[in-house]
Amino acid sequence: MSDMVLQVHHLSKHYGKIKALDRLSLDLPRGSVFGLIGPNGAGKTTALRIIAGVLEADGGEIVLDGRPVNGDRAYRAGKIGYMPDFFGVYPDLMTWEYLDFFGRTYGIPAKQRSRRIDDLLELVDLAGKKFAFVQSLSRGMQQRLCLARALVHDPELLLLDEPASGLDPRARVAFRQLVKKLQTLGKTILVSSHILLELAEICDQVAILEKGELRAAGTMEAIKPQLHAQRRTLRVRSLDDSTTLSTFLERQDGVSNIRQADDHLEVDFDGGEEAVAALLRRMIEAGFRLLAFEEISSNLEDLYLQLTKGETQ
Amino acid sequence: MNVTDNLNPLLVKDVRSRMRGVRSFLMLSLFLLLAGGISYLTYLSTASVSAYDFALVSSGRIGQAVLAALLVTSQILVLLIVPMLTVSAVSGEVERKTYDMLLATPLAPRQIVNGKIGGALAFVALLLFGLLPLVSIASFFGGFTLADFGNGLLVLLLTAVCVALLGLAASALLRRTALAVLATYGTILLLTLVHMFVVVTGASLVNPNHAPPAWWFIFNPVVAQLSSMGLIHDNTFLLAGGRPVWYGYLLFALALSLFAYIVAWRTVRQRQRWRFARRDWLVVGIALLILVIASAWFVVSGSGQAQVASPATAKPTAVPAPMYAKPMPTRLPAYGATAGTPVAVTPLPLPTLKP
Repeated sequence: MSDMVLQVHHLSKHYGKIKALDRLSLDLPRGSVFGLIGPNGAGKTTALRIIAGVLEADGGEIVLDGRPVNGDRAYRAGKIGYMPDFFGVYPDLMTWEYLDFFGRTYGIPAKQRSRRIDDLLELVDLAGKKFAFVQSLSRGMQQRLCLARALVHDPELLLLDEPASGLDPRARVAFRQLVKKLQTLGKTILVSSHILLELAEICDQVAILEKGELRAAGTMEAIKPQLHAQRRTLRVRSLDDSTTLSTFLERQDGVSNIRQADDHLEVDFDGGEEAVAALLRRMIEAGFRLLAFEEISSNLEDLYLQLTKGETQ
Repeated sequence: MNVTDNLNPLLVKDVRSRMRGVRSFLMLSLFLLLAGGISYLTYLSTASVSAYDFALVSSGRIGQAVLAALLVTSQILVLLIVPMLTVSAVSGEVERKTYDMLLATPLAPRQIVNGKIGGALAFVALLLFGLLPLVSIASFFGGFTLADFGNGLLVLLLTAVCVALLGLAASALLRRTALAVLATYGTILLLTLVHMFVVVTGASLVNPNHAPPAWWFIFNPVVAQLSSMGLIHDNTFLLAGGRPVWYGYLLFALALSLFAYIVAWRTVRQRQRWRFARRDWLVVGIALLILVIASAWFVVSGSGQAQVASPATAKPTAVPAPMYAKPMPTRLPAYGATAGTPVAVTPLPLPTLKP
C-alpha cells in the first residue's frame, strides 16, 4: 500500500483560451487533511472535479494508491467520495432513499446498504430524519447528508469542495468537527475553501492556488520559507510616547507601515531575522524603554494574502 | 438478496420519486379521462349515425370505432405526455446540481440512459395498463380481434419509446430543459402537423391530379396509428407489396429511436466535447446495415404482391386486411341465428337525392 493516497502529476485544463489549471502537482499522504486554497477562479473546483472523474483533464496523470486511474472510472469511483461545492438534492426522496440510491449505484448489497445508511445517518447526526423528505432539511442538514452520501461506499479519499459555504457559524463549527472525526476514522481528506481560517484549524497541509498555478504547498511551517517577500508584522510596546517611537521607526530601513493598536504599535517589516535583531538594537541604543518586541505569527490568511494577488481569470 | 438489487438504480429512484405527489396521478387521470371521454363520444356518434340511417346499431362497428378512438387519442396523448417524462432527465440533473454527484458514481453511460428511459417507460406502461379496462369495454361490442389491438398497441409502444428517447437525447445533448423541450416538441410537430401540411401542399404542387406516394406518410405517427387501425386503407396509404403505411413507420421509428439512443448514450456522461469516435461509426454502420436489410426484405418480400395496390388487378394477399376492410353486417343478426351461421343481410334502400 502506497504512503500517498493521491498523487496528481502535471494536471492541466483549459477552457478555450482560459487556463484553468497549469501543470498542477500534489501529493496527499494517507490520513491527512489537505487544504486547497485560493481566490475565486483559481482552479480549485476544476482540480477537484478532474480528480473525482467528473471532468476530463487536457493533460496530466492521477494516481490513486499507486495506480494510475485516468481511464478507470469504476476503480476511481470506488476510492473517492466527492462532495461538490454547489449540490442539489432529489426533492421527492426521503433521506434514507437518497442514500439508498447512491448505495445502489456502487452495487452495495441490500442488507449491508441498510446497515450502512443507519450508521452514516448516525455519524452525521441525522438519524432522527431518516424518513424526512430531503427537501425539508435545512441547508446545514443537507450539507451533512451530502457528506454521508459521499461516504456511502466507504471511500479512502474524500474530496470536499467548499464544504462550509452557505453555512451559519454554528453549522460551520459542527462541520469542522465532523471533518476531524472523519480523519480519526482514517479518511484522507482534500478540502477546498476560500474561508481560510477554517482550513487553518483542520488542515495538516495546504496548497495555495492562483490562476491555475500552484504557488506553495506543504505544512504551514514549510510554506513560510517559500514566501518571496519576507514580510512580517512586529508588535512593539514601549513606555515612551508612541508618536516619538512611530517617528523613529518610520526612518528605519525595512519598515513599510505602522499602525497604532490598543497599547502598542504594529509594524510591517521587510527583512530576515538578522534585520529584525538589528532594528531592536537600534531602538535600545536610541534610548526607548521597550516592554515588548515580538513577531506576530503569520496565519494562513496572511500567507494567502502574501502569495496571491486576488486575481481571477 | 433484495429483488430490486438487480434493477437499475436510476429506474428505482425514478419510479420512487415519480409516484410521489399528485402530478403523476393527475397525469394518469387526465390521460384516462381524455381517452375514455373521446371514446364515449365516438360511441355516441357511431350509435346515433346508425340510428339516423334507420339501420339497427351494428355492435361490431361500434367496437371498432371505440377502439380506434381509444388508440388514436392515446397516440396523440403519448406524443404530448411522454417527452415530458424525459426532457429534463439529464438537463434537470444539471440544473438541480445533482449531475456531478451522479457522474462521480461508477454508473456507465449505458446504465444512465437505460435507467432514465426505463423510469419513463415504466410510467408509460402504467398509462397503457390503465387503458385496458377501456379496451375491454370496447371488446364487449366486438368487431376487432386481439391482433387488431396488438397492431395499434405496437405502434403506440414504439412511438412512446421513440419520443421518450428523443426527449432524453435532447436533454443529454443540450443540457438545458427549455432547449430540450423546444427541440423535442419541435421534432414532434415536424413529424405530425408540419409533415401533413408539407405532404398535402407538396403533393398538390408536384402533381395536383395524383395522391402523394405512400412512403411520404411513414414519418407521421398519427397517420401510422390510423393506418394500423385500418381507418385509412386506400391505395394512397399502401406501400410496396400492399403493406400498410404503419409497417414503414415501425422501421422509421425504430431507426429514429436507435439514433436518439446513440446520441443520449454518447452525450450523457459528456466530460468533454463529443467527438465521433470509431465505435460510434461502428454502431451507426450496424444500424444502417439493419435498416438496409430490413428495407430490402420489405421490398423483396412484397414485390410478388405489388399489384395488390392496383385495384384493377387486385389479388388475394397475405397481408392481413385492416379491420375496417372486413365485412361487417349492417344489421344485427336475426333473433335465433346461431353463431357462425351466415346471415343474409339486405341493405336498406338509400333515399335518392334529387338535385
